[in-house]
Amino acid sequence: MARAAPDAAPKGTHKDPYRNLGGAERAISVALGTVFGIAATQSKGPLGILFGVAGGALVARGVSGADPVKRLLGTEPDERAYAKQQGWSSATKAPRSVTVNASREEVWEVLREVERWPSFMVNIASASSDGTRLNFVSEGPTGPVSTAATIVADVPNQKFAWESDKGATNPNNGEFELRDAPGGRGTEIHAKIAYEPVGGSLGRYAAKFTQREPGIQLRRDLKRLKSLIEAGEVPTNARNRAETLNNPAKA
Amino acid sequence: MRAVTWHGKHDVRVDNVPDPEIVNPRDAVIKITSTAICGSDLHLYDAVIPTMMKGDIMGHEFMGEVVDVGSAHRNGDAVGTALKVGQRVVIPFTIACGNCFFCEKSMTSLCDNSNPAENQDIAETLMGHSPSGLFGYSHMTGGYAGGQAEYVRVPYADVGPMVVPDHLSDEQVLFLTDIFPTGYMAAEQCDIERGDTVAVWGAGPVGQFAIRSAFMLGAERVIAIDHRPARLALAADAGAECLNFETVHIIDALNAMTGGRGPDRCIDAVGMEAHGLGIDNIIDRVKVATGLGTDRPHAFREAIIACRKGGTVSVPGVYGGLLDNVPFGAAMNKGLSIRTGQTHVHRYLKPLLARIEAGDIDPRVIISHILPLKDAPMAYKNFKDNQDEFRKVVLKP
Ligand SMILES: NC(=O)c1ccc[n+]([C@@H]2O[C@H](COP(=O)([O-])OP(=O)(O)OC[C@H]3O[C@@H](n4cnc5c(N)ncnc54)[C@H](O)[C@@H]3O)[C@@H](O)[C@H]2O)c1
Ligand SMILES: [Zn+2]
Ligand SMILES: [Zn+2]
Repeated sequence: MARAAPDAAPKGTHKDPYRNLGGAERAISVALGTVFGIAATQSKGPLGILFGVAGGALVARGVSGADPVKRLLGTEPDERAYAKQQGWSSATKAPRSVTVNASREEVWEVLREVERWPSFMVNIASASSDGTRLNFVSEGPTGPVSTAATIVADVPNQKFAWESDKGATNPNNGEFELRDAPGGRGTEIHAKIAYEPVGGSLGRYAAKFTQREPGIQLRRDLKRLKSLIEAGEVPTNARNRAETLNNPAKA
Repeated sequence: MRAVTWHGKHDVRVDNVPDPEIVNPRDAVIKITSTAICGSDLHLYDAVIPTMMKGDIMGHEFMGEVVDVGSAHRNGDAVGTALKVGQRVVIPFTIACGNCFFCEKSMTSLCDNSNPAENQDIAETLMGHSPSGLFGYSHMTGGYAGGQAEYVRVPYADVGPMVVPDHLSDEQVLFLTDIFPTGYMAAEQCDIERGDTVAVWGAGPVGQFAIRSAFMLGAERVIAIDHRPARLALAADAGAECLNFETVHIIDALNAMTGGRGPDRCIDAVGMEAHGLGIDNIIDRVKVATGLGTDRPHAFREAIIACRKGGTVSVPGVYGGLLDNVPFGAAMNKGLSIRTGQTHVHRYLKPLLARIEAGDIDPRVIISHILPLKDAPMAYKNFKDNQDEFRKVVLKP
């Protein structure tokens, strides 16, 4: 047996293999393709060509066992596993990381004071915590949503994580982990947000469209946090104070 | 206030827009006394840089007087040097925070923080990582209002602006904001050695400063390549040997001039919109016109082929997207070093001001026109179509 290197890919970055169809899916694909092929020989003109192309594609899909479209748009393997573990219908899991040119202590100080979250998390209206519980209000695609959660990790200068209560309207779990960047290059923040998208993966695409998708937000929030710590302020291209009311959502 | 605004391809206007204000603690507001049009602005004028929006204020080469400062300048919270109202300053076109990994290494055009988080999305999608924010240069690099205007808001103003001495005129120091450092960095990146011949494609403002800087940094010979006679004449004034690419086989000429070795160092000061009717450039023109391409890298291709084995190709010329048919096999097999980047202006301000004060260079020779701001549309048109006469335009708001 050939040796295999240990997998270094962080969780949330895996994809399905190119051959991503099961036996049943492949058989159905070939059968359906054959039906289309027969239909193609029976119809004339553009319809015949359409049936022919569709039939050919389905047979090729079944025989090869590879569906690149499903691989591109479908759910990710890490997300399916997470949904199963959490008992959610589906899960979106967004890992993001950023390196801050500051010590872990300095980063922790800003991050752990959850009341400050709205200063760099633009879709968080307010946040509070009493040590074991975390409450925050976020702007969802359809208006404000409150989350009540339990803090499941609170290790100073290392890790902060929460899990929303069972039966929440918008189940979401989040985590910030701090690690030293090599060679004294500051602190890596490894953040994860996992949530059960309203309306499944379709809902997730809709959220992305309105830029309210938590993964997109997290990426930007981390950068704003970094700027706040490194530069002492969050950058904006606003020309004047009136414009800041629409910023930073304004790109 | 009045400002030069972008409205689409070959459509810039002078509009009335709201005055800028202090927004963040480290900001300053500058009343602009002089501002210039850059070759980089032509890429915007020609609409080949993506993510411009109607109404964007243009301009990234500007200087003026501080008229307002944010709280950090007053209460001792400044990261760099606090500014005071009334000071006369030049402002780097790259915006930099002064505190991130890149700023600490004085690679200020790569600042992690100055491009706001939302704008970084576009840059990251196209380029993998986002460069710094720039004044007046599309939303991909920040969406900041530029300085071809009466006033401008300057973020991180405790790190960028440099106070200039009163005995130097605006025209003497204005180009510290961009093209002098840009030409200088292009030459510096060549790592010029004794006896080196440096070839410079493009005798525009950037090329002119690259030529002069190459001599300052010890080049034995400098060869300038362009097709605008008056621009080549200005290059000759600085001691460059000149080639007109419309009437000369550039590769043959460069080999003949260097005993078959090729120039040791090659500088592409042309960028993504090469002129000329070479076959590759005609194909590029068709591709760009039909949306199949973004850049016309004829000069870059030629520099790679011309360059001596083991030499350096330094690229201050701006490129926006994907470059087709670049002879990378030649670059690899000849062991070339390719050096490039938006200019790390901050690191050059003081040393180049000293060069000007010492009389090593007079930046004023580049200027062809000094015009009121309201003439900006005419100036843009001529800077594009009438390049021999319109070499470098300074606007006075
Ligand atoms: N790296 C940076 O930070 C930085 C800063 C400023 C400008 N720039 C870029 O530098 C480039 C030059 O700027 P500029 O202000 O001098 O612009 P410019 O348009 O005035 O000058 C370009 C010159 O190149 C010449 N040219 C065109 N095609 C040529 C070819 N095939 N061979 C030789 N010469 C050719 C033109 O005739 C013109 O004189 C632009 O791409 C600009 O965007 C980069
Ligand atoms: Zn410029
Ligand atoms: Zn920085």
